[in-house]
Amino acid sequence: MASRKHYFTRTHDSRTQELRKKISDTLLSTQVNIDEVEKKVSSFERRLEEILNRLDELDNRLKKLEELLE
Amino acid sequence: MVVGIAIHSYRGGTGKSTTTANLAVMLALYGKKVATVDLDLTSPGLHVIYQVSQSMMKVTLNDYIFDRAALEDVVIDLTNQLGLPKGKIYFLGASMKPEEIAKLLKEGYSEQFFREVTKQLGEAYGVDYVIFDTHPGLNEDTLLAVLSSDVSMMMMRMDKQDITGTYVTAQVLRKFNKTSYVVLNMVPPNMAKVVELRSEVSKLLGVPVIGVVPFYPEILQHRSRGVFILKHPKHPYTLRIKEIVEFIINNIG
Repeated sequence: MASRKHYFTRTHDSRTQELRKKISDTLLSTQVNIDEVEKKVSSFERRLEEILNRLDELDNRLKKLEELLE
Repeated sequence: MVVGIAIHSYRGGTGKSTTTANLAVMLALYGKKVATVDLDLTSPGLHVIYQVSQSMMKVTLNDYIFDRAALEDVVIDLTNQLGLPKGKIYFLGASMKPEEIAKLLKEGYSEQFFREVTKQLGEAYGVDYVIFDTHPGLNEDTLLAVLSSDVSMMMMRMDKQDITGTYVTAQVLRKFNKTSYVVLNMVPPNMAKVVELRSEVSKLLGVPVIGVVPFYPEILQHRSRGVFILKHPKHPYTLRIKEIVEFIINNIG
């Protein structure tokens, strides 16, 4: 470890507040079409559900095959 | 070069602190020097997982932020306590005192804090990674932490509220051209088996998924008493964490 200790000095220089201002402006100006977002998420969930159902079906077929083989 | 990674999520309870501690320890097991910073302003909890008592945290991150203490007085070296054979783990804990939390919430972080603390941790301890465990949500302070880091890692559970919120967060981060990744956590075991899960989520969010961690009841039973992967090195959870860490080492920094 270096012998010199490290301190943090908070400045109120406007240059150091640029990102915060940009974040604030972006959050205030961001237009989110929540209906559109929900549609996309719902369609994603449907796709996932279909995949899960397909997997279940495959699992069931596999189990039946195993039973037949026993 | 020190790489800053912000771990965040749209909603709480996604496993940010647990993931932060486990990723940090796994990085250390790969020989890396890692500092973990508890930035969960209103409910700091990383110290619980590391089993650091409040008495060990005489000086906190809050003292450093308000120029009442040096970085070296805040940093706790956990390498020996955790029994790590290689690498280094440093911890910077936040105060749990209500008045300190209120002060920080009122005044907010300054943008320069993230740059300074990362740079100073590099100078003083030679760390390779600084992992910020942030407060959930789309608030200014959390976004400041995320955007001041090199990389953002969003934790998401597979429920509709999380997915919708993460989608919106990803849209906001895209406006800043932020390098972002997603880790799916507590995924129902049957869903975790779906090979297309990563690509489907990546396609939806427009962000690469770098990890799929199923829900393991053992993590709940562990009740944050120590770092899980150290106690269960062969558990499937540990292997999932290893996979994420290998991605980080090979692709970030």
